[in-house]
Amino acid sequence: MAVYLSGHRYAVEAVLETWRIDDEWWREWAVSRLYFSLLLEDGRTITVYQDLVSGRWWQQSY
Amino acid sequence: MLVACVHIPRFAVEVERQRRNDVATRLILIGDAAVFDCSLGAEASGVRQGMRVSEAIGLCHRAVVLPPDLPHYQRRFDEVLDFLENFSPVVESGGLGTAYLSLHGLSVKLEPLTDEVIASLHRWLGFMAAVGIAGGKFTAGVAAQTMRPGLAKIMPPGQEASFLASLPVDYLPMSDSMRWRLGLLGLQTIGDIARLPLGAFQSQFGPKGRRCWELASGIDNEPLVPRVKEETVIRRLQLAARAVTLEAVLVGVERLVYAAYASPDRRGRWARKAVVRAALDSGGTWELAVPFREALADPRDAWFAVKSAIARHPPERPVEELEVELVGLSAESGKQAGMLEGKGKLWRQVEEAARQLRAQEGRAPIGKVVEVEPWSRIPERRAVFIEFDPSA
Repeated sequence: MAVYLSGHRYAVEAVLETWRIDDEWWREWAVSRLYFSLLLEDGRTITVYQDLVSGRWWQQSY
Repeated sequence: MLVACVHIPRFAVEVERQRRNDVATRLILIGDAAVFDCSLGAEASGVRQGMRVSEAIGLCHRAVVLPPDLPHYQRRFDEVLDFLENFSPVVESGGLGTAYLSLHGLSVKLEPLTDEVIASLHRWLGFMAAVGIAGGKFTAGVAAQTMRPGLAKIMPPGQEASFLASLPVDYLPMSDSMRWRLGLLGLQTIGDIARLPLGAFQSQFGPKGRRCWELASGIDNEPLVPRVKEETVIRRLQLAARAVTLEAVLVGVERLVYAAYASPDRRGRWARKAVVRAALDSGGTWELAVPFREALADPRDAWFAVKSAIARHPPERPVEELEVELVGLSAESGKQAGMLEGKGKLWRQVEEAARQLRAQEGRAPIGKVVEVEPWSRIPERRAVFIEFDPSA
């Protein structure tokens, strides 16, 4: 498993945590995301999520 | 305490007569929408200060109407105040055209003093003044106002109330509504007020009424507040040709700012404000005060602030002469830091940088993170990135 960040490929060493949030269901565009906290091969920890409405993947840079 | 009042009636008109040959013998109205000042002839036609100019022209259609040039009038009056300091160390400005001098502790003969003040003021500055001397500011001022220019009135001590008794109440410091009410009550002269019991008068007109009653009764203990003459550094530039564009004006002002900072008169002190003045084409003065956020010793910092201010408020007509005055000269300014303050110097540098960027760019490209919904499950809703405003 790997992620691509800014055009570079980084292998995922481990999935540290996973969680899901569902919110604002009353709006036209509800928020429904599946989050992953990942440890990359270079030692960095990043958080990514899949938008379950559109199916697209995003990095959560707080 | 003996006080002398030097009163130059219709001061703005006299300044304009000195400045312009073409109005020397004309009837003059000075004002934009309302009459600021008018010549004696215009006053005799019924023109009053504060009257609409259109109405004043109707009463005095042969008068020449001039725009008010307040900075110039104030500068000429400062010359009068500087000159009067030759006669007394305590001089107070009572508004354009009126000055009070304390004679306390001066061993002078009063009549020769008044003659000398009137003659030398006319000889050196061209103004004809009336002088009043009395035991208080109010009575001295009224005495000067009731005399024709060139004459003086010296009030013997204890004669103030009898002198004021027959004069109209308009001389007293009161509002229009109070004047109107006095008229309804049939109180026309200052003596009418002095004859009333204080308690009854004060109950009708409050603390201001008490003050009027005291003045009407010759009781005047208001102290003189000497003018504070600030040391400044001034540099002027007479332009070879009129500066028509803003760029030409900025070039001249920049030279003057650097020249003022390089002046030995500054003696290494820091300036808190710069005042830029310009003599405009076909008369009039443009003036812009640029206060600095903190005292500045570097001309580059001062020029940055001055240039930004001029760009926002440029002169409206071509300029013939420029002047820069550095005001508020002081020793090096320091900042009192808090004992437990963690941010200190770095934060102040950030604030200053943000202010200067805003002045230069119109907005500061510096932002800060502010918590909005820190409890939100959606991470990007927890905080926002907003523009940094150091004044907030």
